[in-house]
Amino acid sequence: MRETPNALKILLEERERGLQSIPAELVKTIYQIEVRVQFDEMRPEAPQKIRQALKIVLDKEALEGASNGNAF
Amino acid sequence: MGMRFKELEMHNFGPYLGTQSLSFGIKRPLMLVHGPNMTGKTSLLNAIRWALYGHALNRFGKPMTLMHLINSEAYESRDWIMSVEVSFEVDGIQYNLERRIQPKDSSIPPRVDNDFEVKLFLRRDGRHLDAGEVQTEINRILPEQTSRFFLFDGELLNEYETLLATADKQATLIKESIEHILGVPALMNAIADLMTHLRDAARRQQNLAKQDHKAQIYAAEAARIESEIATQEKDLAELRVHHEGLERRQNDLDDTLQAVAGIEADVIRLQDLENQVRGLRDEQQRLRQENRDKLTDAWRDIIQPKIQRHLAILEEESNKQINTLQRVGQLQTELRNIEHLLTLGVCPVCGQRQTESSFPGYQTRKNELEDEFAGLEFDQQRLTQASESIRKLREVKPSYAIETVTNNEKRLLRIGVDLADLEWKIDEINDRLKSHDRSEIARNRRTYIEVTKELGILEKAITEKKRVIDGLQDQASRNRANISAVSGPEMQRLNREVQLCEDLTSLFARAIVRLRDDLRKSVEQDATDIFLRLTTDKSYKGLRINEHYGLTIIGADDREVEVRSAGAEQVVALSLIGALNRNAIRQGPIIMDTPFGRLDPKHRENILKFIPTMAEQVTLLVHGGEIDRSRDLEGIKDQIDKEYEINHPSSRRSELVTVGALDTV
Amino acid sequence: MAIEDNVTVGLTEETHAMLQKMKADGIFNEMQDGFRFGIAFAIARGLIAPDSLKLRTFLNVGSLDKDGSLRNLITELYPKASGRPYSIAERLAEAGLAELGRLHENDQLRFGEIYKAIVETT
Repeated sequence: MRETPNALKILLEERERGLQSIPAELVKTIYQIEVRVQFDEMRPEAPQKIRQALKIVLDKEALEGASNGNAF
Repeated sequence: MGMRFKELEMHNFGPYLGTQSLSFGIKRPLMLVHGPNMTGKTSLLNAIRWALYGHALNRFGKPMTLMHLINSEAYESRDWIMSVEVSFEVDGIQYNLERRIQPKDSSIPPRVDNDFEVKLFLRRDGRHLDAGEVQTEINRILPEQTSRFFLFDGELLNEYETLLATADKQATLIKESIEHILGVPALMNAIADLMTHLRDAARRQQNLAKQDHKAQIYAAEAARIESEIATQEKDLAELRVHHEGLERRQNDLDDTLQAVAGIEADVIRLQDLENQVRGLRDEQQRLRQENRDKLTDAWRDIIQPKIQRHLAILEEESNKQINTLQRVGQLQTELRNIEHLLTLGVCPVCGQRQTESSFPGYQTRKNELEDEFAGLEFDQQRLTQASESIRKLREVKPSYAIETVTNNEKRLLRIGVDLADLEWKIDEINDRLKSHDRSEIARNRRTYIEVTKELGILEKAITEKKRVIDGLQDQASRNRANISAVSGPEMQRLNREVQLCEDLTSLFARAIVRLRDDLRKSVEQDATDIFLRLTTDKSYKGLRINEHYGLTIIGADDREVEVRSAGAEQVVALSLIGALNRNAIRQGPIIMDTPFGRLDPKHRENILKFIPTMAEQVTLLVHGGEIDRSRDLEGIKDQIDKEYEINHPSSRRSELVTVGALDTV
Repeated sequence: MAIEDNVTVGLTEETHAMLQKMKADGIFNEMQDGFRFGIAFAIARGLIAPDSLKLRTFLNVGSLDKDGSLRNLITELYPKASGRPYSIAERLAEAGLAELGRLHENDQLRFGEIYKAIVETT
């Protein structure tokens, strides 16, 4: 049974093509944030939530001592 | 999971006086409502539309006012409250929605929509939502943009395909709606949000860089570029607004001009017709005058038959007298000759002597002649009179004018008919023309050309502006790379943040392209599957999709099928709807009004078999001619949960009545 | 009898009005054209008005019958007229125009058909 094209699946596949420096979790998180509010006229929550998600990733990397441009 | 309707209750809505309600298919997918056209099927569709979004549409797709929606009998009996209540379930959550209107002042009859106040209530799992949250929640569950794919009018299916085949504004709106259903906006929004964040991070980078001498230059440069980008984007936004405004103007003008396209042709035709009328009227006048002139003498022709009859009698009498006179002459001559002969014994004619023996014979002859002579009556007077009468009667000669009059009368009759016809045509055209101002039309046309030209110029300017902005973004990116070369943990973190945003933006951009492509292919594949199940033409191979989600039929020789019947159009559109439903992020219920309007029995059969599989819940509003209950529903009766019929007791009122299960009919 | 013949001829008020209407409606150029036609029509159809009618005269016999052919015609066709052809002419015109006027009122005045009927029945 053929699957419906899935935006998330495509995002993760494209990530494998040279954009592995982006944590997969982050991609998932951002996508889900947007999907939840995609039909609202006003989406005040989304940019803030994205900012938060990015902060979490950066904090995590700082803790783990990661440096620029390393692949994950 | 997905969404399903549960109950609908209407109060004084459209043709439904008082409270009318129905339940949707829960245990089984199908619910049917039967009703003749114009009795309230479309009102059911409108009830749901109105409850969800506050809009109901008329036959032409235009919004209806509240004054038109409220049941007229209820209004007249001073019942000015109208409401629709819909209950539905989404992913297991129970919702109850009510939209109600009542007059602001209940003692005065409301006359315009403004005299009503609208109240909207939404309960989610029993809890009331705040007034401000209600419409947002509805749009989250079932956005209005996508409602055309689950609440649709079968009659419009034909136009649907034509709309998609063109690339105009309408088609773009539909394409956006489709992408909405399929989740593309989420990705686009992500890009916009990420770019905003990127700019913010870049700004922080600059601020940090200002503290390092080397980086100051780059920071200054970054600030300059950013300021330049901001200016350009402001310009671009203005250009876009201007463009939008002009496009709207152009569309309006286009609509107006379309409406009057026929006018010029009408004007020419009118002149031609008026010339014809003038010509005919001239001929009419001329012929009538000729007739009047001819009638001065036509009396002579009228009287000819009578005259001829009399002449016949007179001539007979005259001839009789003349013949008698002739005979008298003859007799006299012969008698004289015999006298001579008897007296002198010599024939006066030949001079010969006659013998005495012939005398008795002559005597007898003489007696005969004298008898005949005595019997002849010659009346000189009568002959004279008859000749005189004949002469007098012949004085009145025919004029042959009557022939001309007769022919003219025939022609005048014909002209009368032609004139009436022409005058009727002229009236028709004048009616059409009188509502149009011709100089205004010319003006509109000129304006349209100017606006189109200006739009072209604007479009070029917009493209150029985008190019400039892209160039600046590239510069900014290179500059950022320079800034990043400045090290330090804080800067490193900022660099990483900027990098992530840039990478994420790239990622989502790539994903959009692929998603659109994959979705189109998936929709094409699903639509083809469905189409091949529904179509009755075995030579069709499938459907092919274009970038506007328009579908073309692929025929036997792998070529596009150009000409499609109305039935084929409907089948293609249904295939698209079915495919969209399968690919949608959230499966919705489907409500279809007259889906079988233009289809032949075989197509209908195929579609009836397919419909229960289109979605979890399918509601059909059909009119009597479309479906034969005993025959068509036989194959799917075990899929039907509920059935209703619309009764129409008066022209202003309809009622919903439950129909027994098919087995008991 | 020593009654003299008419010097002027006329019609009843009603028939006169009808003739005027026919002239106004463009059927005849002049009243006398109609009068003459009325006479011919009555002769052809064998119609004649009674002697007793009250007639309003408006036409001079000299204008009506310039060459006297009408008088001769009537004298020939109506021998019992006994020297009063114009009196007969009046009665003929009255009967003929009453009928023609009626046809015109009902929009049925077609000379072509009238002529055809006369030819067929004579």
